[in-house]
Amino acid sequence: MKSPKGYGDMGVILTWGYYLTMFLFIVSYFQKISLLLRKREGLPATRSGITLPVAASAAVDILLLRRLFFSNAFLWFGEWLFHVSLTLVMVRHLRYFLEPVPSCVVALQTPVIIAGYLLPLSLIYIFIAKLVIEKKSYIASSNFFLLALLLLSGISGLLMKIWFRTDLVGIKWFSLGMVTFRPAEVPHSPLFIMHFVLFLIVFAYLPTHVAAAPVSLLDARQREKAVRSLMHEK
Amino acid sequence: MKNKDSFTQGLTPMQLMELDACTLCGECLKHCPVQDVTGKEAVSPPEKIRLFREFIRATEGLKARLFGPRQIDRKLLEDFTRAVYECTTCGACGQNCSVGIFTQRLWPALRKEMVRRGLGPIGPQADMPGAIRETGNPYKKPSADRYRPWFPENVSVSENAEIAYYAGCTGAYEAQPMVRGDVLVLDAIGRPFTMLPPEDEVCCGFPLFITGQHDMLEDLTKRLVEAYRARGVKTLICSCPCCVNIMARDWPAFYGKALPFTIRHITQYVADAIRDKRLIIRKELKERIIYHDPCYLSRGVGIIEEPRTVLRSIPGVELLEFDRHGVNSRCCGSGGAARKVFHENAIAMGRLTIDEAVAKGADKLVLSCPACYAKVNESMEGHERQVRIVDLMELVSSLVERGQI
Repeated sequence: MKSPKGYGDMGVILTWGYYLTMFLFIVSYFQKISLLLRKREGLPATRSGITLPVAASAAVDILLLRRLFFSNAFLWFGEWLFHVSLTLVMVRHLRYFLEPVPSCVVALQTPVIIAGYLLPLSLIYIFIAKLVIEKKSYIASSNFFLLALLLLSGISGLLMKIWFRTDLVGIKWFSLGMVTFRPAEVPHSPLFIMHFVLFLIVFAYLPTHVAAAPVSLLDARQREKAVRSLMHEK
Repeated sequence: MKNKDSFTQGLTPMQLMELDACTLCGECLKHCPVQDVTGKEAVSPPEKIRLFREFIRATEGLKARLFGPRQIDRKLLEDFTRAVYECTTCGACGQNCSVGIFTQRLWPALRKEMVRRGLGPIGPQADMPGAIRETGNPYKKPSADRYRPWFPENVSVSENAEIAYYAGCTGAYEAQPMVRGDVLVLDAIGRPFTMLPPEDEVCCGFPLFITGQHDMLEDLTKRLVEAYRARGVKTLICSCPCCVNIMARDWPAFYGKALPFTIRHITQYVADAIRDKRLIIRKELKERIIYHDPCYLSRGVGIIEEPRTVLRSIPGVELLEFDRHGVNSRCCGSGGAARKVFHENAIAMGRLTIDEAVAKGADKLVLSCPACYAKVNESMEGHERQVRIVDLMELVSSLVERGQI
């Protein structure tokens, strides 16, 4: 599959890199699920069922990062901004993979462009909050590595939008080729190639809490409700 | 057991999810009492989780599945075991965890795994199963001395009654003014209550549970539950937060079905008696008192208001609060069976509790846990700051008399 102009071999390499990353990601998640399904001896904690109030409060915890807010409101601001802007930026990227582009994605263009600027700013805020202002005693190097990758990814994305405009048709051509299993040429843009490679690395290092934290937050709400029935509602 | 065998056998699927859910943000360190006195990164909650995830990855991760599990360095496992036992399992980290991990249960589960691998428990904790088998209590004290040294002479106990009182090993052997106060207050309320003979009132299982030694738990639970059931008990009262915690949370699982009676912490029973005018405290106490919430009572089973209701019912009392109280209470250092092994940590934590009580201008520091009572009293020895320590029921019993209704 040939795009208007681009690196053919590099397109194939990046596409296969994408397939490999996705394959490993999916297999590792299946492997995690199989680990969860194995028979175990652990004692389950007392928890309530998932009622509407429990689900609603858990949704607030997940969407607003409520528990972090009560623990550290200063850090929360940066973290929440980061999570929201990253989500919006990812939504904006759907336009490269879908044809025709859904109207809801088109409708979100303005807030999503703002999110593109906020993403690196929020990451810088988190770095400063943790390292300079709070001088945290516990620093997880893996977290900072990931934040650094995301920051580079966000900055390279912004650079392509503002100063080093890249051939959007070429990017779409490459992206569609990737998801339709017809590897296409990648546009003549080292910045885009860097941006894409960073995305692959971020995906490979995607922290496990992305999937597990919403479940543990829901469970916390179920336990919170159940603790009252342990000694008080008999 | 080889160092490359599974690390997840004793964990629930939710605990595996919780291990994955940790963002390693380190927010919990601000609430960790062990961090307050040691500053050791190895003992910090995220570091323990990070290491345990490494163990799982090395033995059951994708690479391990494809190419075989990796042997884990013995020294690393030993260091991890020490860290997981140095924790007081107070659960303050989980209470303040940004993703809601139930650490008050996760740490004992990790300890259980270390026991399964022959690495835990550590120090005198390893003697507990033998001591309980031999004497019924983890302190290896004669069962004949379980009640005799402290039981009030003028109080009579019924053979059968709907209400039963369980003194607990730590109260009976290490915090006797506390259990004596319990019995005096129960007597003052005036309802008949029963107790098991000293040789039958065996350990509730909590010390074994918390140190990861689960082999005897089912047997101990069944012995106690059946003994109370045979006496027609409908409500089992206990003042020890650890006993109450395992009774309410885990006894049904070890018993195999719902318990035939209700578990009540003594402050619940006494608060009800005060509300129903079955117990009236008439003596005045013109003092500023500060109440310390035991971790396994407040965070563990949600009993926060009842002790305060009892204290507020004392005429003249001014009730103060610690900066961290209720579900956010700071551990006094006695939790998690660590007090006998990591003595210096426990003393330092106990002194932080004393210092804050003194700084707040309290005349009395009121406790409601035998382990806290024993350790905070010990922490006071040789400390420059002093405050009078009293158990809640010890205090109430000094202000009421039988038939004072």
